Amino acid sequence: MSRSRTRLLAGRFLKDFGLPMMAVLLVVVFSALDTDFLTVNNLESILEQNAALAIVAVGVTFTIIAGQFDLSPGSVVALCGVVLAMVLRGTGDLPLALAACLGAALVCGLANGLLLAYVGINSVIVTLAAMIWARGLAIGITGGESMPFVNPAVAFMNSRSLLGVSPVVVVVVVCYLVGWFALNRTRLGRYAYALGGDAEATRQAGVNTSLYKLLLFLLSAFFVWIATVVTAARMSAGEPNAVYGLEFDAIVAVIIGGGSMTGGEGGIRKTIVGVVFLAILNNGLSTMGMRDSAFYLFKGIVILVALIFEVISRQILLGEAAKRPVGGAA
Amino acid sequence: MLEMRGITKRFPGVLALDRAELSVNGGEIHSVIGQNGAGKSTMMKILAGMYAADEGTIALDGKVVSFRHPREALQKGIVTVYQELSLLTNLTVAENMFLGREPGGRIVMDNRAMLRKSREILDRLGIEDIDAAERVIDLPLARRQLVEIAKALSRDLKVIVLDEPTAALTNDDTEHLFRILNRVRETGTSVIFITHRLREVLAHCDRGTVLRNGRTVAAVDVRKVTEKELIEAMIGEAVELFYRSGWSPRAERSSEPVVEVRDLTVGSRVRGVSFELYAGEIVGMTGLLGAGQNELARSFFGIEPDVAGAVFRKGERITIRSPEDAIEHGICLLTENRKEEGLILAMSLKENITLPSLRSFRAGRYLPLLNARREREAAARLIDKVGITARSASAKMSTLSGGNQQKAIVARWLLRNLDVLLFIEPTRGIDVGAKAEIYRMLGELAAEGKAIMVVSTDHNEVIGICDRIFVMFKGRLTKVVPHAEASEELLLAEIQGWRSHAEG
Repeated sequence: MSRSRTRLLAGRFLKDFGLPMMAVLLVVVFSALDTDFLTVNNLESILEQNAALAIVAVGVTFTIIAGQFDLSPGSVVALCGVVLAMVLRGTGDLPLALAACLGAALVCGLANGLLLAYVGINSVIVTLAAMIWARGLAIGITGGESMPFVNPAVAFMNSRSLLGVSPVVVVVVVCYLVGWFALNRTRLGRYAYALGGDAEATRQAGVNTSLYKLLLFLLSAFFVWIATVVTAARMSAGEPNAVYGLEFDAIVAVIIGGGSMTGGEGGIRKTIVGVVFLAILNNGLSTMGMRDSAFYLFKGIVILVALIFEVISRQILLGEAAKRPVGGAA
Repeated sequence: MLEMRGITKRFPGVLALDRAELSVNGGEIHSVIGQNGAGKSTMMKILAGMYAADEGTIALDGKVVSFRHPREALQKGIVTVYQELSLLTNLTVAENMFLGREPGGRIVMDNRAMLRKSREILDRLGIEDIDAAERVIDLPLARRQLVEIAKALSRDLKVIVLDEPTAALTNDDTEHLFRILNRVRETGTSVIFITHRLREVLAHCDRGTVLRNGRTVAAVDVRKVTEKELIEAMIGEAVELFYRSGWSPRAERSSEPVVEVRDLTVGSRVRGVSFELYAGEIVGMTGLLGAGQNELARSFFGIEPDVAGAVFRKGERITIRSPEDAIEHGICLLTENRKEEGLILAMSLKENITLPSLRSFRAGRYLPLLNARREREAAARLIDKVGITARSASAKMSTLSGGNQQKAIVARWLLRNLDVLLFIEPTRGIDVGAKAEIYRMLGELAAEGKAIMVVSTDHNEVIGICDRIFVMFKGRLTKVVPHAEASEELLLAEIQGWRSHAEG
């Protein structure tokens, strides 16, 4: 009993605090290597640099919980950024450009959603195809060249003029609040969990599962739109070669935070932990001035270690849960 | 109130329902009984809108209705609680109860109201030890069953169908369930109750409908029938004769046991079971669903956790931790789930048979190449031996019938020269003709000196083909019945523990 209880507590502890502790460990290591790491200035720039990742991860949290994969966000951010830049350069009308950008994101989300929810193609394949065609379209439109634009809003977004913090940080915080509300208080959020738990049982409960799958990808597209705006403002350009691999970083963040690859598990708080961890890792490794090869090698290894921790703590928990008595009024 | 008339349903190779009838009044508990394969489940799935009937009509309150989707049946107030639970274990009890109809607006839900209503329902049903905010994964199985029923009863319903709800319940929980159902009946709701346990039918139901081979053979007032009459209606003479023909006396079984089991315990499902298996005999293993017979058989294949006890193979003690271990010791298990046992539907019949034996078809000592001719010949020999009907050896597995797929798995293990063959429900879901074929094959294998154990809840099957029948009750081996003494009545009594255990 006591041993089992110890294991249970250890499992819970690892699960709840394992990743945050590793994040703290990273901070300690990075600040030891670089005295500038642990400064308010750098912490804020960590968030700014990883704003697109943080925002996209909110949408990815929903799709992962629903047992679906979305591999398209990186390419769609590039494509929508190009659309934004084109309209802005052509008309100078910022609201119109933002609307066109949102439209492009929703069309991509709609295409993905219809194909996987109503045609019934596996989400990995559908969004992998979207990852390829959206990138191709972005590069095709621009000829592969960056599309710079000039707009006063860019300066504002890159300032720290909103009560002393960057508007980007505010946008990220609002995205997480919206995401938390949608996941915990709306039908869409509840059905995301239900779909990931057992799609057939959900259908039998009378839920229109195809519609909700589609809506999930539209919601994800909404966050992709915001990530696009933040990315474009940061570069003051539509960049067809921007944010390669953003989708993978987002998926990794959700999973190491405690989401399940098979769906049904995950949450906004878990995603926050995963994103913070990955953001620290990205920033710390790059401020150390690593070459690309070393950067990817270290990043990959640290992610693996984090995942192994996550899996082990989950197994300890599941192992103890399985020993609970079955049947009877035990 | 509810009338199902002339319901016919065909599946490839099977006539599952043949003009079956069901008539249920409002405010009664109506049992639907019949053997496995009699068509009970199909009938209920048609009522629930999971299947469409090929012929026949359903009328509710005098109006003909048709369901193209489970949702439409739900909207008409017909709720089904299946044997396999449909709860989402990653959600809470309350979230499950209100899945698909959460209180609140179209987009935003009212979680607090949902929790309150769930607690009210649980209170009203007298389910005190389940908290609505608890995640289902943290509940033991029997509790989950009550949650499932509470979920169904929380709807505004006319008809509730319970598919073997008591299989996983203890006696106390069963009594509790019937107290709940009696309250439900008083509100004018019809309860359709599917079970194998005739005692429960006689004690708690008002009327009953007996199905046999897809037909309605009797509609009875439960208070006016005896148990014997129900059993006779369920079995039917012709069926009994059919099964009896499957057995013929065999030459002497081996004098030494090929497998000896001492005090086998599997989790909390199998408790201290001991027995021997001999070469050249077919042993049947039967009991109520959940009496432990499946876990027992699965433990021989190393796919059950928490196994204790000793297994001896030809006198030597062995340990089986994985299917590889089992095969190493000449033991194989064939389950009713053919995918789980490694049938690869996209590959050919030949490839499926030779898959685990490829090593023996190496062309040369040093070259890792296959001798295609020897492989082809071996497959052809086995196909002939177990009597598989297929277009050719290269026919895709997916084009074969259920019975032939089952035989292909047997062929696979015979090629490996395994001599202890365990089957779980070998004829579930296959038609009568194919059943007879499987029985013939089992008889031939036993005659050749294989030791065979068949786990089955179909009493006619075990009576018909087995030399000895082991009866399990609540995880213990309570009775061994020799072929000569076996009868339907005896088995029914034994599997319910009437003889060896006090009732209630």
